[in-house]
Amino acid sequence: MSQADASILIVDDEFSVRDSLTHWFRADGFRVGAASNATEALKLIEEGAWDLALVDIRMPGMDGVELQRRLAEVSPETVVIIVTAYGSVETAVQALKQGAFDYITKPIDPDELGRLVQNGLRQRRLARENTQLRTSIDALSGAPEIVGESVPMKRVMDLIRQVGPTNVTVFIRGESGTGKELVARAIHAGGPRRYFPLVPVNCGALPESLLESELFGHEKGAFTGAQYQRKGKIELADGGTLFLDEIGTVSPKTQVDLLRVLETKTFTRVGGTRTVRSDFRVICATNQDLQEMIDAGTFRRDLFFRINVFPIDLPSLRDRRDDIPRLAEHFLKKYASQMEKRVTGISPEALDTLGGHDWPGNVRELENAIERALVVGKHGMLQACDLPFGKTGRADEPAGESLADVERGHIARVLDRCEWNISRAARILQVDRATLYNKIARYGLRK
Amino acid sequence: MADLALVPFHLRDSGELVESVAEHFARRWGLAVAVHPPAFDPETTLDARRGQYDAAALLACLQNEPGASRVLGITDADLCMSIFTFVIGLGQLGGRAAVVSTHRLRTETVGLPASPERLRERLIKEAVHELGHTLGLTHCLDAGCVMRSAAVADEVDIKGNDFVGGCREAFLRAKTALLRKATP
Repeated sequence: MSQADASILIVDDEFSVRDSLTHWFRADGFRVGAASNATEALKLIEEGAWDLALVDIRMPGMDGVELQRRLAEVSPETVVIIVTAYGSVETAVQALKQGAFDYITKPIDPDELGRLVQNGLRQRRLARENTQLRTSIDALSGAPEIVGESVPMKRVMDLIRQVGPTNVTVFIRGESGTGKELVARAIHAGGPRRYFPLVPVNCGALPESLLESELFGHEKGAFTGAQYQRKGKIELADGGTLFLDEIGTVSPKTQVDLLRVLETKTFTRVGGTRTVRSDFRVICATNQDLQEMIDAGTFRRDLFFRINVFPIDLPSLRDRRDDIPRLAEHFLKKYASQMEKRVTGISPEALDTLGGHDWPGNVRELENAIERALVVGKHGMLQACDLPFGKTGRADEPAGESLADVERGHIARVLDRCEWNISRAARILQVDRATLYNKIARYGLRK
Repeated sequence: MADLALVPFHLRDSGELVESVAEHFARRWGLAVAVHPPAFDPETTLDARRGQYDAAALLACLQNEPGASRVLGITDADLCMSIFTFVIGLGQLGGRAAVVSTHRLRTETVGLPASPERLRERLIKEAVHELGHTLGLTHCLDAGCVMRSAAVADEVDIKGNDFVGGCREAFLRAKTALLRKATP
């Protein structure tokens, strides 16, 4: 906000004060308005927004403190500076407690007034930027879209709505691919911590020693290669949410450390001695039966009780078949848009095939199947033969090819359709990039 | 009729200082400058309770001074306004009168040895600044511009002594109009 954009409202019953300050601020390039009493001031506020108001504390009728209180209601974004005579500081303090930005005593030191107004306008600008950023963040990181109208999913969404605004620890259970992280993100986005990060940790992806460092961070020199101090995920989740996925894979030692952190919200970095505090909400998820693990002695009962505060069970896709067409349409739109393909819909035959599949990989498998079908499909409508488990449409093709020939041909087709985007092709083929590169080399495939 | 009348009152070393200011306006900006004593009694603007002179009241008197398009009072008197504890100077925005005080521009005010050269530089900057206001210029955020606001002497030292960018264009436009108006 440049000075030319900023506006200042002067409220004082003395003409000479209004006149002097108006002159002073106009010389500074501000848009200036003046009111001789609170009623006039409220009328001007009603007519337009003011960035800052200089309000005399003693005025006939409604005084400055009462006006400040009204302004806080009708125009909370206006920064109010109270102008007070020497000796009525106590009243000014009352105005400060009601939310006035600051006060200044009459006669005013012009140097002090300049600083005060600049500080007040800086606060106004920051508040405005904050509002704009929050709006942007809300738009960008709002609750992710969870697709599902089936009875089990409606129940899940009710639970998300209930628990989101609280600070309660949530325990999400569900088979692999049922959307546990999506639900965690929806819970985070629905709560007061949404302006802070959601930090996901896949506990199953890391060996014990790395997981410890990943969670708690480490001090410089904590181990070979620790050249710098590094903050852990718990520290990074300060103010936000820590999402511990695959919690069942955590080793017994790290379970003890985790339990302590969850209870005290304090920890020390690996190789450190200083206690670090972090304020975070916890959401855990697993596809394992922790009760069985407790019975087998591989998961601590006390940690289980700590995390199992608000359980949410996600249904498998088999148990919500009604949602398959809706989900398939959702992924079709998503990937058709990404790949810039014109696909109008899914054929009834393909829908039948999708509905008849067992979906051991749940929604993730369905998503991959649709993405793959879009890559290999050549029709305006997604067909059953495009699906990885659908009719191949090649029953009449001559047999006699070796397994390697089939593999080579299939890889070549997928690569062509993906325009040699290795990451996308690897995802569709369900192999890692290194494996795909090896196969490209082995079969001598070229662009 | 002169373009600018300098009206010194209650001013020590009046001759040298006023001469410096007059020379600056004449040589740097080509203005026809007249110097004459006030036609009013400055004591009528004294706020006896505060021991300071009311700058707004002084402007009201200065704007009735005859003989020039713009009038600039120059004084050693400490200036204040009813709302402000002090001001270094005051100019009517787009008006006719302005006033500048050397009281807080003198190095002796803060216990340092007297520095006539420093005082001259400061006074010229503030005189140009206040004249700028009478020509319709508002404060500038550019630290190098003479229209930068300065509440204390140190800030006067920091800012430049010339108009910069848009202020320069605005000043030259207004000055041309002023010269045309002054020429019969």
